[in-house]
Amino acid sequence: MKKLFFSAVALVAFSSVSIANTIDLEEIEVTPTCATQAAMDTDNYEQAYGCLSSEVRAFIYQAYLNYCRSLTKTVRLIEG
Amino acid sequence: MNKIIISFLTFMSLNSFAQQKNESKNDIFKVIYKSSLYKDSESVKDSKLRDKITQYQESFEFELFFDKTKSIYRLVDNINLDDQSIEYQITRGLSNELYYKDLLKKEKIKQTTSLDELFNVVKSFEQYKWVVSSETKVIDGYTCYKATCHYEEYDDNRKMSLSFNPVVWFAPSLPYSFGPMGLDGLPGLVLEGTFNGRVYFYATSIDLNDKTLTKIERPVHGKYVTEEDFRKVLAENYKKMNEMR
Repeated sequence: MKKLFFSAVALVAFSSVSIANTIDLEEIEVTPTCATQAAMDTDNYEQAYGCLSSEVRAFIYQAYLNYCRSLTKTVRLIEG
Repeated sequence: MNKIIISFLTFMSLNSFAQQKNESKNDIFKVIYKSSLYKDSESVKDSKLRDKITQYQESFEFELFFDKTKSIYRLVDNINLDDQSIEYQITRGLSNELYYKDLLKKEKIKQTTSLDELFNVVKSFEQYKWVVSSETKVIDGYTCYKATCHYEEYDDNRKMSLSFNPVVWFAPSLPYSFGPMGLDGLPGLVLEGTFNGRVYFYATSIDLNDKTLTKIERPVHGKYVTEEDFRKVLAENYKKMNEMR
């Protein structure tokens, strides 16, 4: 009986400590960085358009990068 | 066999050239090209994107002006204001490159942009080492011969070698060593061709009496750079783009 009582107390005590150290995270939105997105979009464009020279690929990458940066929303993790 | 074909074609083109005695010294000719994408059997990950790019590519028109020694090739400026999608802007940007060639000065220039700066990249005059075949087809009433080429290019950013196999059809009876998108250097005008096996260009009208241009001039605007210097500019701009916040 005593063992059961002390086990219960220990369980409650440790649970309280665990709960006390919890940080609440609220995730709003996570997206790839613009550089990653632009590289992916460039790969897709090349798949459709055909093999690209490094010069042409650079042009497309720059265009997608600028486009992404104009659209990107701020993503934050908020500590609760 | 290849040497025999080239010799025969060169003879034919010189013969045609000699017969055009009534041409005035300053005659400038015009060819209109259109382009599209081959729907090859290779599976494309995003067929909707390919169809969209095809639609945009098919909406453009290009003009090649040339006389006996010079040519200039460019996009006909008809901006589509209704479509401002990024894919349209990219496709139009890729098509909006000017090519200039001067046979006497052995000069070949491609005008292009990087980070909104205009560059005139001086290309190798004999950019393509063509292999002419005996295969023929008729385009717009002209008998055309097929020519192919193979070259490799190293991509510094992706650290890999790229392989290109341009294919063109040229007409020896039009003895002008010019063509669309810098696909030139043959003993006849290129009437159809592809540089990457997917996007292709084809002549839709050939006007040997056009009066639109009175003179073909070397590009004036833009910074003149060698191919190597332009590669360095691209590498620098690539780094700059990724460092920008």
